[in-house]
Amino acid sequence: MNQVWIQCEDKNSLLTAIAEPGRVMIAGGTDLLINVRRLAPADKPAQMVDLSLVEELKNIHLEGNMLTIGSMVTYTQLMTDPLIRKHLPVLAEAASQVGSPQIRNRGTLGGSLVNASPAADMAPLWILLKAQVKLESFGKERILLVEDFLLGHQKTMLAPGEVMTEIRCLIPKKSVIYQKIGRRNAAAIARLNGCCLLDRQEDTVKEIRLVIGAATPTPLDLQKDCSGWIDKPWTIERLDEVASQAMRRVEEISGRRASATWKFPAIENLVRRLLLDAWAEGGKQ
Amino acid sequence: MFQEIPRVDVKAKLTGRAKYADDLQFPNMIYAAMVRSTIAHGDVLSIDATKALSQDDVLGILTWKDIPGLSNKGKERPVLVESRVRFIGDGIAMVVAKSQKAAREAAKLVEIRYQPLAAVFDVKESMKKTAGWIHGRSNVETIISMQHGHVEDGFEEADVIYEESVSTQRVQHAAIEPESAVAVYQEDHMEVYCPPKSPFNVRRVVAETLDVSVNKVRLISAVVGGSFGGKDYDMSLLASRVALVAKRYQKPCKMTYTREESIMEGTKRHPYQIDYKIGAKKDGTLTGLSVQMVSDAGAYLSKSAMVAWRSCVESGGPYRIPHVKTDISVVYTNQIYSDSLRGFGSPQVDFGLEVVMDGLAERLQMDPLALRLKNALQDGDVHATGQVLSGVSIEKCLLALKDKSDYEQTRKRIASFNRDHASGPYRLGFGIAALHRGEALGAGGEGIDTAGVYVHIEKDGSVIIYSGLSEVGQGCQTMMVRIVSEILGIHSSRIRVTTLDTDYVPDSGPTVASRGTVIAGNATVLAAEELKTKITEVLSQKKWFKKNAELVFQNETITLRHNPEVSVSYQDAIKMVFSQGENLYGHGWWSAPKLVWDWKKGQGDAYFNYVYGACGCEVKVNIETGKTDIVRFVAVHDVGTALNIEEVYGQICGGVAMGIGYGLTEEVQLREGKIINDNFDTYLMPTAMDIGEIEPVILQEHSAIGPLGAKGLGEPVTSIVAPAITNAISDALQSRIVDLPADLERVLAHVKKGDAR
Repeated sequence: MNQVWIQCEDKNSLLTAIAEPGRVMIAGGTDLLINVRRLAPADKPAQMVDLSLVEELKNIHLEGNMLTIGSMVTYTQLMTDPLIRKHLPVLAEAASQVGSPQIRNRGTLGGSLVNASPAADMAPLWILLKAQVKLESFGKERILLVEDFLLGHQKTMLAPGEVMTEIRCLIPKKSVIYQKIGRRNAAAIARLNGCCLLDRQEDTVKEIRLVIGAATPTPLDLQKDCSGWIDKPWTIERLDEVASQAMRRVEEISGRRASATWKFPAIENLVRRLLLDAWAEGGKQ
Repeated sequence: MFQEIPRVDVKAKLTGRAKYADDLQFPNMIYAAMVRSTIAHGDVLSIDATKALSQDDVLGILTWKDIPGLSNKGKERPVLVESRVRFIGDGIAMVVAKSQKAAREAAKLVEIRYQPLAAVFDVKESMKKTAGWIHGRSNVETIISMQHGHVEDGFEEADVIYEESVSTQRVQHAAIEPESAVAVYQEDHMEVYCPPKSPFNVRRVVAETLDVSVNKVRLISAVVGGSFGGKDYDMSLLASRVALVAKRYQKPCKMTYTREESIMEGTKRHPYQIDYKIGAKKDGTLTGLSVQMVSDAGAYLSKSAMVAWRSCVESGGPYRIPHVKTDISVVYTNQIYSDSLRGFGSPQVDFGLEVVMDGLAERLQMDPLALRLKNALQDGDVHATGQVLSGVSIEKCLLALKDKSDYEQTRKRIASFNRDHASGPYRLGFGIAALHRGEALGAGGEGIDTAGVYVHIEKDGSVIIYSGLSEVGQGCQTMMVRIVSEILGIHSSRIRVTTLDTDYVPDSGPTVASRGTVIAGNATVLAAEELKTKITEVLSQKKWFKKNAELVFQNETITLRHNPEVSVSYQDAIKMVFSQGENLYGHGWWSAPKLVWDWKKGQGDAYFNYVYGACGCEVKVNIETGKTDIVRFVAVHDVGTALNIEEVYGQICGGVAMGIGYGLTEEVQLREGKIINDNFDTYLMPTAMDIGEIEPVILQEHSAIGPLGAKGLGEPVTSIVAPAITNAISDALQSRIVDLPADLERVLAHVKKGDAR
């Protein structure tokens, strides 16, 4: 079977190219090409549209407090970008933990979100930051929260003919803690990851945002589970409560699988660690 | 210390110019792809290739019926099965096509019908089987024993008895180059190009398959892209397969496995289950040791019995133990078969015993290093095989480890870190392990331990070395260049090692058992010495040469030892030899000293020499996640004379990296006989970010038998990495890890058991 490879150099020709049904977009391909390799010849996509030459999708800019990142920004670009390193360093840090240098050079933020792997490295951060994505199709565009965009394991709101062009979020006032647990220190898929932002005044909690990834089909937002803390003092009892609540939430969603022997205590530990580190960080101005 | 010689193959490999088997192209070449068993045990009822044969570019399909020679090899894996399949991956047929893609895609369209048989995946269950065996009339292939003294007496003398059960997992070679071979049909013989670990075995199996004499098969080695013990019998099968196609179609044929195929078919390291019982006096003196092992051979025999024999012989470690009883059962299961993998039965018993030594030290409330030093073998001691030892350097290795790891300070620092950071997520730990390992094949080995090497001096003074040992990446060629350059006193740039070609070199056995340096190295010494004699004979006719004068070959010059004023350049000497109609080819044939093993008594002279080493590892364990990081790894090895110090560092660091994978992350996972992690995205080897600081420490205790005093190193370097790591983790967690690998799950489970938090 002949395979067609279409490379677009600007957004308009891209939107035209993907309007044709049956075409698969390739935005780095670090997961896609591996998946395609495993497909039977008849099931392989006949036509692929490559986004890697569309320069318009590779910009990072800051307007006021609003950060806008092109969907074709690679992990390497993100982790080395001065704007990101200055205003939202946790993104650079998380990007630096993705895969290997080769994967970081090819893999893109948009590609990862559309791929919607439950173990995606950056996904919990986008949820915590309440980031939005811009989806464009020929003559149309819409904006969705990442939380609403991600539907499940490799399931998203992206409609045929649509392409993700931007991710945007507000720079938070407090710094964000991110942690990833992998089986090795590079080229590792997250066994668990998570992030936390904690604002406090003295010993009183003002705001907590907490999201963990790789435990459920889409990142698990635990902000509501922490709401009992707001305007209350920090206690170890509550810390344990939130940690075991996180474990129960995962069990409700994903059930108790063979991996739970490790995963459940690890989730409790991760939640506790994120909150402890964020508490220490939250005291800093 | 010798002057540095750059690796002779480094430039070709670094620039990408080295030709691996898959790089080779021949006119009108055709391709083959395998159809393999999808069930673990059963009989093939029918093969329907209609769909496959109707595809474009497909030429045909071959089955066992197309094998002119041996197809059924008893307990050995067949080139193509006649009917019975014994694991998921057994070769049933080959699809032949004009392109690799067409062959691979058509192979998927071949439909096989089976009569399934009950399959067994667990060794203990397999041992109990009373019917439905995999081979013969029992699934236990053999039980090999070693008996030294009376172990019950040893336990009676003991003040403390410690028992422990340990297990090791199935891992694979994971060479970056997957298996590939090309056969080129010639009118009077078959030419085979492949990366062979055991070239003469490959040649023999090809000849048996084609039903021709061995001189009708010529094997020319392609550059080997990693072996680590693999590409052995697997390569014999692959070469036989392409040779069958080449003969049938009278065209060159290539077959290269994908990574998934390589993992599915490639042999693995034997998983072991071991029960230990060890006894000691209060002061730590070992009195008795019982070792009961079960080895999972998988579906075919291959070298499993020989691997088991080495495990048996080395099961007492580098320690003086008066009473030892070891038994190892080699058991078949319907899974990928096990074979040699860098260590050949050593890593399993080294892991087991070193874990047990730490457990015993804990019972005795003794320092683990002190316990090892107390029992370390000395010259003149009796080994568990009954052999009286000489050239023992384990104490020196342990003392060097103590010194280089700053043992006592390190222990103190770690203890205070753990005390000061009790509420934090990290625990530090330090662990050690010690090693002795029999050199080369040994008495229970794979045959007579011999090798042949030719060294030719050309008329311009340049030199070619022909060797029967494969360069598998270990530096064998550079080693031979070193020896010739030292003995003839010439610059290494004059010397080239030619491609291994079975037409031109004698059968030198397999490239295994860390034997290259000792066996082929000694043959190289003999060949170079013969050249020296030939040159001396011609020079002795010169007027200045006094009777019985001794010549010194050094710095491209030959001088009289007692009168250095008298000299002739190497170049002129060569000219003189040729001008007199003499030749300058040297031949070296070296046989290892005779060894005898009494199989009934389980005692004997197992190896002509042992090598020794000691390792220390510092780990940082995250007790919230189970993640272990290697902080520092100190690897002490007695290498004899280091023939090439940079190569020695390379061997040690590479071996440690490989051992870290065995210790922490690697495991071939099977579900009902099917390998589920069949590529490197899920089979996890350590990356450069995972290996921490490796500090090689080289001891050079001259070997009485090795060439220029050198010892083998390839396998010892990986053997005690895993136990040093797990002993360190156990130290960090205060809970003993006794199974491999120490992955996130296992370590976190031990956090709960220990009192680390």
